[in-house]
Amino acid sequence: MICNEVIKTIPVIIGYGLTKVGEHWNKDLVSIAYEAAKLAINDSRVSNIDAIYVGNMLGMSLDLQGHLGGYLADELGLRGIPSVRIEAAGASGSYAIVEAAYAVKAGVYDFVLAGGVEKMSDSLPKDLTYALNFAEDMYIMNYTGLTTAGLNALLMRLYMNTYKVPKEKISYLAVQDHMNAVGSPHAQFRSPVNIDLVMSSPLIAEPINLFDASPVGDGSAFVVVTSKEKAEELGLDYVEITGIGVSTNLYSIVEREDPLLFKATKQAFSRALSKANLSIDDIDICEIHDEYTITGVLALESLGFFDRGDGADGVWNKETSLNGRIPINTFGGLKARGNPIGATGAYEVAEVYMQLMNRAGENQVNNAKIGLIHSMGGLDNTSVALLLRR
Amino acid sequence: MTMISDWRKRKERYRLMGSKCENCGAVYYPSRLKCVKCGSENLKPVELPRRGKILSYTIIYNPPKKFEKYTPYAVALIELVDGTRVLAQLTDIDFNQIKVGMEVEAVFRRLYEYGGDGHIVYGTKFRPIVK
Repeated sequence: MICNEVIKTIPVIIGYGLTKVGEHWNKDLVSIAYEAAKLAINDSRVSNIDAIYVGNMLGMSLDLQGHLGGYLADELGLRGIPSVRIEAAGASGSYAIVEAAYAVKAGVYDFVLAGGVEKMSDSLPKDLTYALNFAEDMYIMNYTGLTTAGLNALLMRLYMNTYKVPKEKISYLAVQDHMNAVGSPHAQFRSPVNIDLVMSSPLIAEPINLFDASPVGDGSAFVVVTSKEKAEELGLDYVEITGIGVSTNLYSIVEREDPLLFKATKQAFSRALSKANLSIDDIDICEIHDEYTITGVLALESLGFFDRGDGADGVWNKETSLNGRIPINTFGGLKARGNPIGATGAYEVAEVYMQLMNRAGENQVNNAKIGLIHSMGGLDNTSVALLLRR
Repeated sequence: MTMISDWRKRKERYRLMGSKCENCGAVYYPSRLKCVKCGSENLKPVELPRRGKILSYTIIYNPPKKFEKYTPYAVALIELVDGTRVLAQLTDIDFNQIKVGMEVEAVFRRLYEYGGDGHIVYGTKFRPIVK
């Protein structure tokens, strides 16, 4: 039972910082985190940070650096404060922000720096593919030689057969992501692509092509979380974290009665909505975890923005574009903004914050007041839903 | 995974063994400690049926470490005749012939090897049933 209802304090975000996602050859894991953390602290205009939660998945396997919490606090010159790494695979960054919000809600800290970082580009593809498998059941992955692309490929074929949807319509999500990334200065890939290019890119796990997959990149994003009272006391502008939902699912798709339904996603979102006392129709913009095009389509359906089997059609018909019914991935999503695993959820939070604060530049969605962040670790093994409100 | 965990899993892999809930009859592969359906901890090892059909499949072109030399290879989501689902590699098959709904049977095959002084790891793959 999650029983934080008695505490009325509302956690709010008062600033963000992020790096461009890409191949940062001259920077290591902590340098990238340092850059984003510094920007977030400066943006929030507070001088004293009380604690750090840093999301990271691959540091211990690829960068051979564990204990990132203490290390980052020291590098930032914040020695003496509590600082810890949070790991929930692709949801590490969003989960770090959830923990920060809970700590503020509980009255433990006033100002918390929370976000994530990942450094992926130093590693060879086979090592990276192996390390990304850690998000799933390693017994199954090792036994079969499956990859995260392979798991998603199994779902894509199942989806195409079940709902008689052509692959083009699923893959169109990549085209939309790239379109949004053109006006997104921090996105990894800012060039538009067309559906023919996506469909003719090399197969990585049939039927998944390279352009159905989020790319390999380095990046870091942080926000500063405080309470509504503190922000108002200091006269700082803020966005409320008005609803939080986290859920977990059967670890392997093998055991799921309906592998095309992300139950944890659905449950996390419904928890967040009920905490915020909102309904799905109140949501103006949404960031979804489209690690692969099919993952994004299934997330859209599991969240309830489309009926089962209609998600790909909805994207194809531009209902999710910047001026569509429900704009998603307004800075390019995982495909084009990039997917530095442990930082990805934090990018999503920062991006929704930018939209609600009217700081989204070229990609500003007019009158966006309520935004949803959907973030996943593994294939819906852990799902996080965060609702932000201006 | 380490070599020792490969050894620990040898029976499950060689003989396609999962676990069966003694309380409600649910079957799991890989085996579980606690039944998902009824919550019982009374699960016993069980040999699974060796025949089933393909529900979905993929062909892996970007492999993880240890699988490079076998690339490309096919992996399928298979429903066994008792309804239990397993993930396993397909073998002895031309990729163009793989179809959803195709009937397959379990066979003992090499999975991967550690090279150098390391050992070779064996387990179960599935091949089409020749009628």
